[in-house]
Amino acid sequence: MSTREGTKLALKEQWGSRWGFIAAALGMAIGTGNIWRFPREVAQNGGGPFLVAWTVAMLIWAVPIIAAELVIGRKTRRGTIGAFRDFSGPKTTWMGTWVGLVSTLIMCYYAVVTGWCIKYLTLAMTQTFKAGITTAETTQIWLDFSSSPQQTIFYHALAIGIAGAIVLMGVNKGIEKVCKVIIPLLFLLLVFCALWVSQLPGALQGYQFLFDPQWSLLLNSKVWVEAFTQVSWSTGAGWGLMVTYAIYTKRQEDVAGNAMTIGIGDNIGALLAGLVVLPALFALSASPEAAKAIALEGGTGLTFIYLSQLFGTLSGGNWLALFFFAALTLAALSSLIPMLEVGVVNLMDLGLTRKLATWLMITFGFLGGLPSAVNMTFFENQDTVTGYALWISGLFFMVALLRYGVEKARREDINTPWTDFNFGKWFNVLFYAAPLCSILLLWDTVKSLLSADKPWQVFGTSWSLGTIAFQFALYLAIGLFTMKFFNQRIQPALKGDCDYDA
Amino acid sequence: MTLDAILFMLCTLVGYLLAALVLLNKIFAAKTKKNVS
Repeated sequence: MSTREGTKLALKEQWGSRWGFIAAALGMAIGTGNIWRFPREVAQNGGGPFLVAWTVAMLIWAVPIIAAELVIGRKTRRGTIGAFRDFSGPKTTWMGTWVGLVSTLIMCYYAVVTGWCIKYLTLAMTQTFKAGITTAETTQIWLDFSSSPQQTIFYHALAIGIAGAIVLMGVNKGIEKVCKVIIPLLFLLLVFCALWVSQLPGALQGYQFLFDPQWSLLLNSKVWVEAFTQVSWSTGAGWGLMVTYAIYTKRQEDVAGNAMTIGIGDNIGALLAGLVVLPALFALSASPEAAKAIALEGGTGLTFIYLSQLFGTLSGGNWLALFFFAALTLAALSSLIPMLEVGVVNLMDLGLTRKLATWLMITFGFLGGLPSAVNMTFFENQDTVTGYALWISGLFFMVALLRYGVEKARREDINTPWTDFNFGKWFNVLFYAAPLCSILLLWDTVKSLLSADKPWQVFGTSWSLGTIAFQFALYLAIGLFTMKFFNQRIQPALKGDCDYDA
Repeated sequence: MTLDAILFMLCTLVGYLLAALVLLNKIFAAKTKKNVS
């Protein structure tokens, strides 16, 4: 490329290698949802049948959405807002604002969660989970920590500060370098913990629970709904994070291969976490009934109260706790980084430098996360509302792809001459089926929300149709009111941008 | 642990392992061609 624009663009940031991009994308996908949400979902939905439905959901729902995001990011070289404008027309810019806003709001409370993980890593490092520790003691440790605003705010600030420092260093020297260390280390830690746990007497009951082949449950719609929900929360499909990372990919990057690697890699991360958590619960709990009850509760209780106590019953258990919380912290941190990057790139598209954009996002993330750091109801509210908003985000990506042309995307942007994997024409069906799945999931959610207590309560609740509708209306209003501004202010991609690495 | 649970566990783990090996092989084989105009 000999044009002036091309020379300028050649200086743009990009991934140093395909592995660097895959490591960052896996870091994005593998988070706390794999480690504390997945074991609970498997436990609640009958083991084996859930694993089948979850694998199918990854292949037919997450992979097409991730592929769509990779195409959109690589094609437009813009953050979520500019990407929607340039890919599917200026009338859809508000969809990009929705996607970016939701991911940024998730970043605010996810930094709080990452802070909890860092706190528990420090506790494991200081030998807190010593032999003989009781559930009452680990409950007290959790309550003392979660009810102390000074502590939760300090660790929240630490989490957002670490992620911000990495983003500040840039894509190649910061995000890529860090993820190339974090991801192999995370997998090694999980494999090591899984092997350790497999040696414990009673672990077999955990495997039986995880792989229980109750095939009749495959006819139960709840199992499928939960499997799709887990995939949407875990893979990061539809969050806009892949669009952001795809900006820095080479033109020759293999979209189909990368989408499958991210989906399968994320599921392997969750499976490894299941192979640690469930056998450990069954091996170390007083009875199989007690283990089942803890597994069904899941979440923070399972991770910070019960597992901490169970590790203490084991000889050398504090080391296992250390490795487990190190894995959890790395998973959380590598997911927090792209959430920050989404906002940074959108600000950079408006002409800001990376340094200024990152400092603005660190400040926004810190201030926006404060309510979640000090109030658990607010935290749960944000976790629920933004979780459902992600299904709409995923839907928007598929709408953008449908407007662009599914067959055109498959032929011109996915099945390029230099790819290892190609999507056959049959894959177009999945591009049409994915938004349908999103609509069915939303419909099922609305039905269950309507049958809940006080469905129209807006404030002071963590889970109601009213609070979800109110906040969705707010996101939509922000998207619509800022559309004209963004359409005018975001710089369009320069001609030949897709070829900057050629 | 029942026999069908063991079989399902082996199928799941081997299936995911094979998929990972195929994909990792492609990533590190660096087949991606350079300088495509």
